[in-house]
Amino acid sequence: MSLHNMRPPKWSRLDNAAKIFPPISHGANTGVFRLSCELTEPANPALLQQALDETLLRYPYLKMVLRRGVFWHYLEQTNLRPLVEPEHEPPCAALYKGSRSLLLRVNYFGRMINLEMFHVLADGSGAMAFFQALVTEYLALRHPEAGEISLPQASVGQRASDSFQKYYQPRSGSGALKQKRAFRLRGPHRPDDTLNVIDGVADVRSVLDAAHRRNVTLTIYLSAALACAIHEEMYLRDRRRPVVLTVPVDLRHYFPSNTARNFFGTIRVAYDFSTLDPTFDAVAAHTAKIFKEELTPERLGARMNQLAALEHNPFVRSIPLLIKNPALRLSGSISSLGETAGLSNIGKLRLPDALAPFVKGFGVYMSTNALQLCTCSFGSSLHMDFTSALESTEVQRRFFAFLVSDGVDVEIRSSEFSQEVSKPCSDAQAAV
Amino acid sequence: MLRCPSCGVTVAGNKTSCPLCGGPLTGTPDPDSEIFPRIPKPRFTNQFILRLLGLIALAGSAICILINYALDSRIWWSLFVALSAGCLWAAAAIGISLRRDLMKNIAWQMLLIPTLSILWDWGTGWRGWSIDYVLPCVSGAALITMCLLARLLRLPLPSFASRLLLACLLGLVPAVLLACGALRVVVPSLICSALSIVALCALALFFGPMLRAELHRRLHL
Repeated sequence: MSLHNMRPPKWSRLDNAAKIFPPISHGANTGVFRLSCELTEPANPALLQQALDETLLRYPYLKMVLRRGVFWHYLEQTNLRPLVEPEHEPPCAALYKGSRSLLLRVNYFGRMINLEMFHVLADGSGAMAFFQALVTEYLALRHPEAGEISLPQASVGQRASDSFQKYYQPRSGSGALKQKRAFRLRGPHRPDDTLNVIDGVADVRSVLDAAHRRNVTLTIYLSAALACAIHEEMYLRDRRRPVVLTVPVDLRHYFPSNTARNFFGTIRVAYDFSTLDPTFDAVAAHTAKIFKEELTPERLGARMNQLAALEHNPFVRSIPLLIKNPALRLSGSISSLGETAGLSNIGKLRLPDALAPFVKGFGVYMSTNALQLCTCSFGSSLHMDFTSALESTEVQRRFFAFLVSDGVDVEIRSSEFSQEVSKPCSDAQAAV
Repeated sequence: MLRCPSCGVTVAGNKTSCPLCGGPLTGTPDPDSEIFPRIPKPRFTNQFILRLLGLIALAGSAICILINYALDSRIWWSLFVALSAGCLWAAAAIGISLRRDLMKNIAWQMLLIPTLSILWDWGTGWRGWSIDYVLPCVSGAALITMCLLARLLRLPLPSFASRLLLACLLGLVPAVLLACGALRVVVPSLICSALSIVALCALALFFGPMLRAELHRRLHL
């Protein structure tokens, strides 16, 4: 024990959304998401490390470890230095392995730079701000000829604040959620708890044109396409259960906040195909209707308060973590019975104009225990990144087949190599 | 660039079949456009080693029970073997799964070993060796090991303060037993209690505010 490092470390409570991730993260659903950037030239590890060190100085609250308290987990600042490594683990591999593991990693492969983060630290938007700063810093170091670059940003205090606490209003009986069991995708799960990643890249203009031809917005177009692709995969007897898409919503658009920690809510879009016409236009109209109903500050605020009320409940608070953890894990499993797939759009990534030519595109991947589609755009490229815990790629195939039939050119990238092993036969295809 | 004629998509990288439909591809592969590396499967995992040890323990116990049954079933010595194999496996499991966090490892072992010893002692006709010797020796040793490790590895106190505190408190249990007159051999317990009291006082005098902060973090509601 030396006296020079005796300063008590800075620590923070987990925000409302982060509290659920440590208990529910297991198997393929590691609670880790990845942001990746495809450069036009191979990544330089030394410069990337330098850029990471410098960017982290401005984001000190990301250098955290997760520790167990008696009643809740909490984040504690650490002096561990994240090291840039060549990519050697499957996408979205678990980050939290104990109280000495950092909750983010940065790795590279060829032209790719990847940032992976445990959802406890931040949500997509929060991580996006950090990743944009990291890539900007890296490119500024790599290409000093591009000139002086600066990114506008909020103060460290603003970014480290917990906006769930800020907007919490204790209220009773607001907008209770009814949960019905949803249709779950059939088929064997992948071995070793890994994810199958299929990344579709298209020109954002051509997808927008296709959406506008059908008079819907891009998000509604993609949601409806996903719902239709899942519908086509359902057995007839499955159709009594609704297809439910979980859509995370960035609450910063509804409640002013500069936080870089978690600040999102989720809405569920349910499609009951026993009554709903399965044509694309009907599904899209249904999606648009639900989005319009759900995406209001009142509805989102009610949801947020309802979840936060649980955390503020004195009884729940005083249960020891040892008991709370399994209970939260169980409630997470029950809640996932009400979801078929996830769809999240993290929007548009931006870089300073002088640096944009060095980047081909950004991608985003989220770990899941079923199927997840994440989309983001940069410049003219739109990335539609599927992660799946299942062996079958039929939903992905149908989704992209729909886009192709709508006149969109799609480029497919995948994390799979082992083609020697034949795919398991789906019984639907067996009859020749 | 590769192309899948049946899906109508282009496929990046060096694939032998379409990632969507599994069908054949046309065109020339472009290995440079691969965006994911091939990840080799890990050969051994924690789980594997634990399962292997578990299997060895189970197999050993089963063989002993068989021999016991075949040779002489008046004394069931094989049950002792099976139970000790289980206890050893539990200690090894904690040792392996917490090998990255030595302080936590020590804290768990320091709770597990006396607990198992007390159960053994009680199950084999209470002779008191578990509380006379094992409890004070283990908690004293845990306390000394923690201090030495912290010195050697230059660990900051905040990273293991709660475990050190736990070791001190466990070291006070022999003092309580001593006061109740439950012990037959007092020397180990006396030494262990003295160590714990000194350590507690040192912590309180030198690192009081830090310990309070640590307790505040650990106990926040």
